[in-house]
Amino acid sequence: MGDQGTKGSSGVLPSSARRALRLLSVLGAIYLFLAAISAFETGVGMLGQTLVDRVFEAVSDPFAGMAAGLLATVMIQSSSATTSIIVGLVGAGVITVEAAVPMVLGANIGSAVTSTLASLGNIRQGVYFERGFAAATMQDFYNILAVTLFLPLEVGFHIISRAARVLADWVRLWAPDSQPASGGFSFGDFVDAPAKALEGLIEGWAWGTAGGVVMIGLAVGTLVFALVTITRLMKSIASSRIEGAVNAILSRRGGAMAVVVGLVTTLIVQSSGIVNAIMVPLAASGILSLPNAFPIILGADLGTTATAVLASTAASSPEALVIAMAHVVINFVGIFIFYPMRVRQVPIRLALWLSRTAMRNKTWVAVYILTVFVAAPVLILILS
Amino acid sequence: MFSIFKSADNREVESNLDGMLADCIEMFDLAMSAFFGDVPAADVKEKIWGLDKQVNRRERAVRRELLVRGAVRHAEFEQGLLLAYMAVAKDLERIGDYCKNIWDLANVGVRVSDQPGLERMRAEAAKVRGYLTAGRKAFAAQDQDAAHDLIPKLDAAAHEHDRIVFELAKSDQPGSEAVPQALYYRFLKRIVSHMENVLTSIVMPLDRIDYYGPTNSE
Repeated sequence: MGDQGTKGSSGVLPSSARRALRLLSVLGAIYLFLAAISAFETGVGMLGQTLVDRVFEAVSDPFAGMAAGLLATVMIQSSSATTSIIVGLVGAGVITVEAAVPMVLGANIGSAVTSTLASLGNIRQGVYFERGFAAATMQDFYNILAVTLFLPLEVGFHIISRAARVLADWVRLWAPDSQPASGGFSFGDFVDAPAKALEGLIEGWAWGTAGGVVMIGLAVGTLVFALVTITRLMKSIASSRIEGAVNAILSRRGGAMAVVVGLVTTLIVQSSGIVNAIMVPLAASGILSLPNAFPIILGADLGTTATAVLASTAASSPEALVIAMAHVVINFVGIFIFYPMRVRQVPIRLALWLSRTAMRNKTWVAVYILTVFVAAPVLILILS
Repeated sequence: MFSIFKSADNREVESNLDGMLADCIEMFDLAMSAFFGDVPAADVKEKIWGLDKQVNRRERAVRRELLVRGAVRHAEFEQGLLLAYMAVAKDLERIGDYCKNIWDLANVGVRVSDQPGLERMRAEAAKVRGYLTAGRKAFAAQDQDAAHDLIPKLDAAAHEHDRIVFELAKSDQPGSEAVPQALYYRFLKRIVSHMENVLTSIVMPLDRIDYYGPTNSE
């Protein structure tokens, strides 16, 4: 086309070199992510037992744990980051798997807050807002319904943590041993190296508990930076293929293949938020119906569990893998429960009802967002 | 299963737009053959309706592909291109519609084969057919020189068709002759104008698509 502009700056490097550089950067970011998990564990260890006991006490109530997971995700705007931190907490022995499962459930609810907020961009555009807001809140309702179902089962019977232990044992049978044969330098040592160096430095300053807080702050900051970097780089590498897959889904009208697209896309970019950011404008424009968007969400929720599994490889305790597997179990079983069309209609109808109500009175938008993502979890935390 | 993740790029959109133009040219040929009485209108009905539906399908596919591209890539650098493609798809869809309108004239029983002005009508059809073919080639190759060459010709043809319409409006010809001819030239004029719009997308800035002439910076 004439003066419409086609592409951004092509740069001085050939495309193959740029691609190789991006892939190397992704590997570097994955290393940073794993090193951050290790540093987080080390930082927690530096806090001292009294503080660790207080943290455990604070989230030992399942409802408080769920609320904490939700609030943390809302604040960080990334459920992948929250679940990775939870994996780090379990890995460091601060909380048990049983206490962490409600936190993961809470993180799941918080995962859609970004797309819900993004859908407000169309708030003056009538039907565009109605459709986009419904697509965004459909995921909220799915996660709330899943928590309503899973939380009592976990609290009463520990069904999720038990299933996760079985799955983790099975995974360990197949996973390669990362320890070297005879005292060499293992992958674990490579990942732990920055944390050990930083620990030595901070302990040299004799900051005590404050040193632990600094270490945790650095670890969380690095973790979020690494996740954002991985997401951005992988999106730029894979955007063409993601675009092709979404086009195919739109022409095939969803179905089980849409679950695969949501799953694989999230695995590639390590962020279900990206999938939501694609889906909401398509739904708002009306070219993606809610029943066809729903399987994509289910796939994306399963895909996002890969981050916690990756984080567990850097954790020192085998329990870290168990909580990562708990995340897999929750979102995998969620697919089987909510994929059938009749069940799928429940979160869809709730989302449609809310978006129509919000269309009539925009106050409900603020009421909904503040209640679900702020007031309710804060209230639960206070009460428990 | 993972073949679904095949790479997508502008080629799919461009291929759909070229396909729309090819379909429009075929519709044009079928409409003209029916209008001039070379074949009964009923004989080409199925074909021309099928092509019209295909053009509409392609237009919807282009819209979806452009929206997906914008959503996946947050394509700041490509916004202009995406909007230009959207405008082109609409112009091509309109060309298809006007071809069907010409076929409609034949279908309702208009017979021009024994009317005065037949030769001029055939000559204009041949001229426009040539422009559509040349325009398709220029658009596919994004050939700016060819577009600059064609646009003034299309513009002149549109003005000529307008002039004939007004001439027919003032003529003493019976309505059964003047009205179908005026409609025919009106439809031809719209086909030519939409083709001109398509070509302006190659050479004009986004805000000047459909408006050929010196740009603000010139």
